[in-house]
Amino acid sequence: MSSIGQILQNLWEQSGFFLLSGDWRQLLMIGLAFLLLYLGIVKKFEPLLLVGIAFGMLLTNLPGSGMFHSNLWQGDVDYARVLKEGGLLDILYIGIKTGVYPSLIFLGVGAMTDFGPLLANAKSLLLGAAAQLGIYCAFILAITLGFNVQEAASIGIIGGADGPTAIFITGQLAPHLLGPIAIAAYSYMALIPMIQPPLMRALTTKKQRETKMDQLREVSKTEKIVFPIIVTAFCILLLPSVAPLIGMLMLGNLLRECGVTERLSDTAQNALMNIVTIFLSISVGATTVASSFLSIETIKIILLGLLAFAFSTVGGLLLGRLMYVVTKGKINPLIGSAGVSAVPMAARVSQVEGQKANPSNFLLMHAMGPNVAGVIGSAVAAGFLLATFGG
Amino acid sequence: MLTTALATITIPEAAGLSLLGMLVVFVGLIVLMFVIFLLSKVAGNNNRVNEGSDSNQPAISEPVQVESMQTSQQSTANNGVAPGSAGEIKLYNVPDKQAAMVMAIVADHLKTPLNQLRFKSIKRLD
Repeated sequence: MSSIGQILQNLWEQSGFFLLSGDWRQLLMIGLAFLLLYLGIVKKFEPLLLVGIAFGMLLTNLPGSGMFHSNLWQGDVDYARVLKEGGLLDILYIGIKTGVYPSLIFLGVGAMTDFGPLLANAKSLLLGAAAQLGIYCAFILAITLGFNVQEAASIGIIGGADGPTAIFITGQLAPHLLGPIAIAAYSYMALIPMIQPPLMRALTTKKQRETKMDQLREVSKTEKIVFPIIVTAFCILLLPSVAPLIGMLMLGNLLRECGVTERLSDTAQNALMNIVTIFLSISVGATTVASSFLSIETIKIILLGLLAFAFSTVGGLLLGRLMYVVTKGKINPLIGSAGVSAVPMAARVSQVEGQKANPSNFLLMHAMGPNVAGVIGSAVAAGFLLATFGG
Repeated sequence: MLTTALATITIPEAAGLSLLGMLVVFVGLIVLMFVIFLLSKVAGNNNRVNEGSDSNQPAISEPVQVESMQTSQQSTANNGVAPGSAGEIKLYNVPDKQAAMVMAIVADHLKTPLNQLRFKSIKRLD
């Protein structure tokens, strides 16, 4: 009888319920995972990623599961040890640590992106560049708040409004901040329809918002095929550290546009993208270990992320205003805010705000130019940060 | 090496680096902008050369801008396109019914009859 009692006691002491009672922070993280699941499933906030991130958060904070070991990832990583002692989420996390998942996501993004509106109006690139302002403003603010340069660069990249780029940079520069940065980036991307409109209305006049733009020219097939090849060569020669992101983005786009690899393009857009999204989201969630996630730094990152998004929007809008003046009213400044990458959400916001000012205004395709330019712009900014602060 | 040197930086240094970063982004994208301009010129020239060599052949697949109902009907009769049509429309991941609905909504929104509008393409944005 006593041995049965001993067995029961051992079972209880090994159970998650017993372990959970020793650390209230894990309970809080489990509650946060439930909240994120609610936001993803019920409120549909970036559900494709948030559901996976929240579930990874749940798995990693259930005590005793042994699915993720943050101690294996500190300092110089011994991958042989990870494979030998790591749990399932440790194995999946290798894809983030090595930058494989964000790069493969970029392959899918490239296959889904039509650069036609950008090619039809090359000046969109300027708006895509201006809308990276938030990256550097958040970087300066993060330094002011006491983060080191690698952490500040990772926080700043939230302003690029590009999830894979944020994960890529953070995985390389400050992997211990991956959880809060990824959650901030994807949450704010989902909240763009709430973050951007007040700034758009504050920084533009009604007359400017009413501006109708000329129809875009037709772009030839040749231009669409040559473009990804040239961008790859130029950007990688300029910033070699950006090769995985730009290389995969443009390969995906070439598969889409060249016309002879439809099956590959289809796989990159759908099957591969979905598989990598599952691995990426659950691995990001796994990094939200209570002991490191529940800190004052997380709150600072969430606030800085919001400011980064706001400054990026302001940067795009201000250059949009300047272009409105220079072109004598031919460019609607509202398309400037679409220069933050979040494709196509930011372009949709420009369309909605433009149509509120003038119901016969159709800005969507005009805004898609700065929107896809923002993807290239944030990748170049990421390359600069990696080249400057990377190991 | 650079990382070690920049492990801790002051706020003015951070501002200087940020300016440099923005400059790199702008220079990179401005160069790309000129590349695109160049590309469009080259592609435009090539298209003109192709159009010149094909000038004897009827451009069946080219969308026709409607100038009058009569000219439109004449050209569409030759092209096998429905009478009153302003040419062809490209649909990307949009079923015919949804495309028709979008066109009707746009026409209603603009208070303009459908036959006075020209749609080039409709594309689904996921």
